[in-house]
Amino acid sequence: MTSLRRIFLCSILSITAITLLIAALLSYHVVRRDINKIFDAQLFEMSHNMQRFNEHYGVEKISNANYLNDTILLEYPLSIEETRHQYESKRVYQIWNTDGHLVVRDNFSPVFPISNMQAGFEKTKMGKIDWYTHTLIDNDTGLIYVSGQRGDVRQALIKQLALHDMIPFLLLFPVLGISIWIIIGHGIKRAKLVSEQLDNRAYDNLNPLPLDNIPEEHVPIIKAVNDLFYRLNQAYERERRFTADAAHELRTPLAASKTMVQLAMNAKSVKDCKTILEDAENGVNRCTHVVKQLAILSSLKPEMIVNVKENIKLGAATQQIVSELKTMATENNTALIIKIQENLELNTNLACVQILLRNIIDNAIRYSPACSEVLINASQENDYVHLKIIDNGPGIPKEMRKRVFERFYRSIDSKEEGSGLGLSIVAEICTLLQAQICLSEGPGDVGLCVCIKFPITS
Amino acid sequence: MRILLVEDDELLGKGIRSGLAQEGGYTVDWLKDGQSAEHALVTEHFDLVILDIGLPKRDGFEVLRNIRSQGVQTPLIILSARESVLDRVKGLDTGADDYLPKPFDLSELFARLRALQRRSAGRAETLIQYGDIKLDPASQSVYQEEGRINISPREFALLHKLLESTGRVLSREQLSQSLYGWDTEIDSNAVEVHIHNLRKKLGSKLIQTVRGIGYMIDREI
Repeated sequence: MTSLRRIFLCSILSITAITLLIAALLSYHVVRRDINKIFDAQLFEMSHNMQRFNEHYGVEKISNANYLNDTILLEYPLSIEETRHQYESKRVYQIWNTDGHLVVRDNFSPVFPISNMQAGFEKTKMGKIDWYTHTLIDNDTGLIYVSGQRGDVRQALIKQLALHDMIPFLLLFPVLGISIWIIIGHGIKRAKLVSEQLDNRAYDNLNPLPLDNIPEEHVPIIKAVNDLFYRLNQAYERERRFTADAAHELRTPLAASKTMVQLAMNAKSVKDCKTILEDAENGVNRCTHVVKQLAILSSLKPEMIVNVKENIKLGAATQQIVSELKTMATENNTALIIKIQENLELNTNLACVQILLRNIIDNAIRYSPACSEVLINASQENDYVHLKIIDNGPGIPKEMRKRVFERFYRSIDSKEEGSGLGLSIVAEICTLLQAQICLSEGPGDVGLCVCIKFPITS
Repeated sequence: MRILLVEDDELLGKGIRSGLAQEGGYTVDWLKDGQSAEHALVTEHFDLVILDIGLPKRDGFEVLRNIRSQGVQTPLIILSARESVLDRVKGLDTGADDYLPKPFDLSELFARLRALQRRSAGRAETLIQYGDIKLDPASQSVYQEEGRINISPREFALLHKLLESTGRVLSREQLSQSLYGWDTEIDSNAVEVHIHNLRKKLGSKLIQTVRGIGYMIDREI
C-alpha cells in the first residue's frame, strides 16, 4: 500500500533538501568569497598600517637595522596553534629592505620571504605552506612591507564560518518535516470523512455523495464516484426491472405447463395423457423462448456495441438470417425477397444487426397470410441506410405502434405465440446502434412496414 | 356450478377448463379479454369467476371495479402473474374474494373455488345438508340415510345449484345455462330429464315444479 502522506512527505522533504543544499552551496561560495575579501582587506590594512607606523616612529631605527644585519622580532605571547579568539585570522608580517634583509618579523612569521616581493595581493606556496599575502613597496624608505596569512588557517576559518551559516537550515529541516506531516494529515482527514460515509452505506444505496464541505481537490474524485454510482444505479435498475419482468412473464407459461402436467397425472387413458403432455411441452417451449429472448435482451449493453464494430455487408447478413428462417417461411408458404445491393456496407455491430433482422423477419413471417411475400430492401440516402421489411399481414393500428415496443406488450388480437419481447429487443438494439425505427403501413395500406434508418458510421 | 374463466393465455385457459371438467360438477365458460368478460358478467348469471389481471382490451382490475360498481355480486378469484403484496391487496380491495398468484396448484385452485362457493351460500361447513340428504362438493358425492347415491355429474351440478339456493325459484333457462354454459347445443328438455332422474333417486317431494317459471327446493323448516 502506498501512503499519500508518506509520498507527500518524502517528496516535499527531498525537494526541500535539494533546494536547501543548492542554497547552502551557493551561500558557502558567496561567504567564502566575501570572507576572502575581508581577509585580503585586513592584509592590505596591515601592510599600510605598518608603513604608516614606521613613517612616524621607527623608520630610522629600522633603516639602521639594515646595517646591523639584524632582525627585530616582535613576539606574541602565544604560539600560532593556540587560539586567542575564535575567529582570529592569525596574520603574520615581515618588513624587508631592498637588500633582501628581513628587518622586522613577528614570531609566527618564517625567516624566509612569504611573498614574491611584488606589490599587491598574492597567493604563494613557500615550502609546504600556502600563504595569502599583501606586499607594499615603499620606494622612499626602500622598505617592503609584507603581511600574510597561512592558507590552511584561512581555509579553516572560512569553512567554519560558512558551515555555521548552514546550521539554521539543518535545525529547521526536522521542524519542516513534522509540520508537513501534520498538515498533510489534516488534509487527509477530510478524505477519511468521505471514506467513512462510503463505509457506512447500505449496499444498495447508490445516491450521489454530497459535494458540500469537500476540499476542491477531492471534488473530481467525488464526482467520478458519483458518476459511477449513477451508472451503477442505472444498471441495477435495469437488472431489477429485467428480473421482475422475467419472473412475471414466466409465470403464465409456467402455470400452464404445471396445470397440464397435473392434468396428465389424472388422465384416464395413456392417449389422453399423451395429448395433455404435448400441451405441457408447448408450455415448456414457451418458457424456453421467453428465457432465450430475455437473455438476448439482458445481453444488450452499451459496452457490447462500443467495443465490437466492423464493416458489415448488409446484403450478406440479411441473406444469412433469411436462410436460417427458411424452414419457417416454407411451412407458412411465405416467400422472402431480398433487394439489397451487394456493396451496401454499414460500420456497426454484426451480432446486433443479426438479432434485429431475425426478430423482424420472424415476426413478418408469423403474421403473413399463407402464400404471400415478405420484402426486405435497403438503400442508401446521404449518410443513412434505410432498411425496410414489408409484410402483407394484419399490420399494427396507428394508436398501438408506440406500445408494441414495450416489453411484454402483446397485441390484443394476436393469435401468434410469442414472448412479447421481440420488438422491444429490436427497439433496444436501435437505441444502441443509434438507428431510428418507424412502423407504417405497407404499400396500398396493407400489412406492416418496419423501416430502420442506420447511420453509416455510428 | 357455472364458472366464468377469464384468461387470455390459450394453454393455461385450456388447462384450467380441462381440470374443472376432470373435477366434475362445473360448467366452464371461457373468455379471453376483459371487455367481453365484463359484458358477460353484467348480463348473465355465473356462480363463480376466475379472473386474470393482465388481459387484452380491459385490465382485470378495471373489469372487477366495473362489475362491482354495477352490483355484480358473483364470488371472484383473481389468478395473476403479479404476486406482490401490493397487487394482492389491490385485488382484494377492488372487490375480489380471493387472490391466487401464478403458478399455482390445480387442487388449490379448486379448493379455493369450493370455499368461495360455500361462503357465498352462507355456509361454513363443507357438506351441504338438507333433511336426510348430504352433498359433498369436494368429492362430488351425495349421501342419503341408506348410503351413497349413484349420481351423474350433471345431476350433481343441478342438485348442488338447487340446494345452494333453497327457497328461490330457478328458471329452466338459468339451470340449463348453469349446466351447459354456451358450449353445447342442448335439448330443450335436458333439464327436465335430469330433474326427473333426481326425483327418482331422491324422492319426488324434494324438488318442486313452479309451473311456468322453473324449479325450486323449499327452504328447510
